[in-house]
Amino acid sequence: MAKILLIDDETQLVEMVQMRLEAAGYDVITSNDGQEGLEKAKSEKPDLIMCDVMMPRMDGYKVCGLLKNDARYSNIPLILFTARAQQDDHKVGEEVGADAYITKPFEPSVLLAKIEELLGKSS
Amino acid sequence: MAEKTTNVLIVGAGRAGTALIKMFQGDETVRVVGVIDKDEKAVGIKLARELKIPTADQWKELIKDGSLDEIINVTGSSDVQADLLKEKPDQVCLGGRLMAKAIWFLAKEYEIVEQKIQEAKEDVEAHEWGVQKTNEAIKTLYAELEEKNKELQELDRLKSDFISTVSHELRTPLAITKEGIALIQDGVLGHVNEKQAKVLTTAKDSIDRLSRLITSLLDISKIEAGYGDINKSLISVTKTAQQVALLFESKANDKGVALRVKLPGTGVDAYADQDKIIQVFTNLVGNAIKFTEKGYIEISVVETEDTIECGVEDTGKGVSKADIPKMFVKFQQIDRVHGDGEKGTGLGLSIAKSIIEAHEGRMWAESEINKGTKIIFTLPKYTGEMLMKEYVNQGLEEAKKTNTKMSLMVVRVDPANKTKELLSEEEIYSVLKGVEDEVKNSLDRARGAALRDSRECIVIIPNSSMQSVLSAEGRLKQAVDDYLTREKLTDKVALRFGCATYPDEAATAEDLIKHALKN
Repeated sequence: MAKILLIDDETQLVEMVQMRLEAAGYDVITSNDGQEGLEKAKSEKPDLIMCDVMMPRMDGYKVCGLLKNDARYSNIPLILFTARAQQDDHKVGEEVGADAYITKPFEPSVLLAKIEELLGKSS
Repeated sequence: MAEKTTNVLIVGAGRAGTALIKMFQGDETVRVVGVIDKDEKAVGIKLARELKIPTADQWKELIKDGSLDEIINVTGSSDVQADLLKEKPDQVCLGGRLMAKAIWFLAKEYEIVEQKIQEAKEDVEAHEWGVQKTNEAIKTLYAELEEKNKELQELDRLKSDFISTVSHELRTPLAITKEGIALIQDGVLGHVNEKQAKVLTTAKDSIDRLSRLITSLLDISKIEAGYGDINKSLISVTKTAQQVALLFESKANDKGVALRVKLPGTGVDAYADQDKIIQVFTNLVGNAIKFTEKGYIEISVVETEDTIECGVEDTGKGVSKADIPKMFVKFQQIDRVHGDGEKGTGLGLSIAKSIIEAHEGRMWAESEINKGTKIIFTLPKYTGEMLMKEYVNQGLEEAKKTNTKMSLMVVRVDPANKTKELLSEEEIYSVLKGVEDEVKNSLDRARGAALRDSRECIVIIPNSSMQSVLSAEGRLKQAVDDYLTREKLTDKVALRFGCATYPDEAATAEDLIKHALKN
């Protein structure tokens, strides 16, 4: 089954989303920190990464940028998600190479559909 | 001893002589009996004549017996002096008491003048000091102004950060709650009975409502803080109106209300934020449907001389004249009774108005109780020229700010003469739109494209040198060729490509485009 890496400093949200993804049949690994998440992405090589933008030590844009600029990991689909307000954030997301940008609160069906789409593309 | 009048003859009517004449005028004890000067035009002679003092060019002419006491020689000539000494009458004094008096007097005058000079000097110094102090004060004020400016910029940044932070802080627990409810509702955590399902639905609806409210509030605070996030591009207002009408078609049908769109024959474009205009139309039509039970709702777009006027009219409950101004006030919902559908926030119209005003348009309402309401808004008209210039200038500004190069590419549609078939304006427009899409796809760093008078497509590529733009042009040509082949347009349409780089090849929007089209 496809493996998804979930990176978000909001532990409660991670719990919820993990439950949702596992119910949909995915294997889920998580991290509450950008730096740690980045390392997990490299060591676990997930099939898809979902990463929050606003995190204390290393934000989602940085994580995304670093992974997308590394040929070894750039083809792993990466979804940025955030509760941030500005439209500019979408642009920044595009610039760092994110494959999708989802705002919180999100519709679970929308999220799942997006994940399916991105996994379908990369396989 | 009372002074008797001394009669004096002044020889020499130059500066000194003139001074003596003036001086002695004020002295009662002196009588100038004559002024001598060889030069008739001497200043002193003129003055003497004015004062009715006898003048002559030879001193001997004016000597009267016994009536002369002193002669003062101020000619500076030793010959005259010698002559006077030799020829003067014995009792007449040459350069005596009066001479001394005169010198004393002149010395006094000189002293006064010196003092005046000193005073003037001091005045100037004081003035200079004043100027220096003013300059210092100006410098201080300027520094303070710079400080204040920095503070304001910081406040601005804090405001923007605040809005973002608030958004994040409010939405995160909301996301957690929503997902939590959804997980249970969807049966992921076990079976849910009917009653539980009902309660969960109510809770979810409430969360959604809260979410909309937060979005609206943030929208408003952003617009009011000036961060409206307006991203303008050339949009079709007529198409947008139709889009929104389509969205509400079924709702209108359900209510038995006719929904129609009144548009001019040709499309109407405006330079505006597509999403925001959709938001405005959606809000207006949504409101119209909410408050109309029978009759019709009409969305109209009209091009007037200098604006684009859009209207949403309904035959609904209407609003009293007194309440019309309240319509745009935040949170003011005039009549809380409404049909089904999501509960409003009372912010929609206010936000819509702010959006239109951010576009430099106006929005107002006309309404009559039980007859209906019409909300009208205007958008400024833009010519293709203005749009293109603004677009290119934006790119130039950024290049200047970041000290980088900027290139632009122009793709021009020329109806090919291969088939001698002329393309219609619409066809050209759609070809250009197709090209625009190809551009966006093939050039990942392009800042999107701008259309100019429906014959040209202009692309801005920030941070690019001449070489990189040439290679980009190559890629684009290929992509566009493929596109034309796919659409079977190769024979009908010829495209011309050109590019120019700032600052290497030109420095203004006009020159860049001219240069690009030259090739």
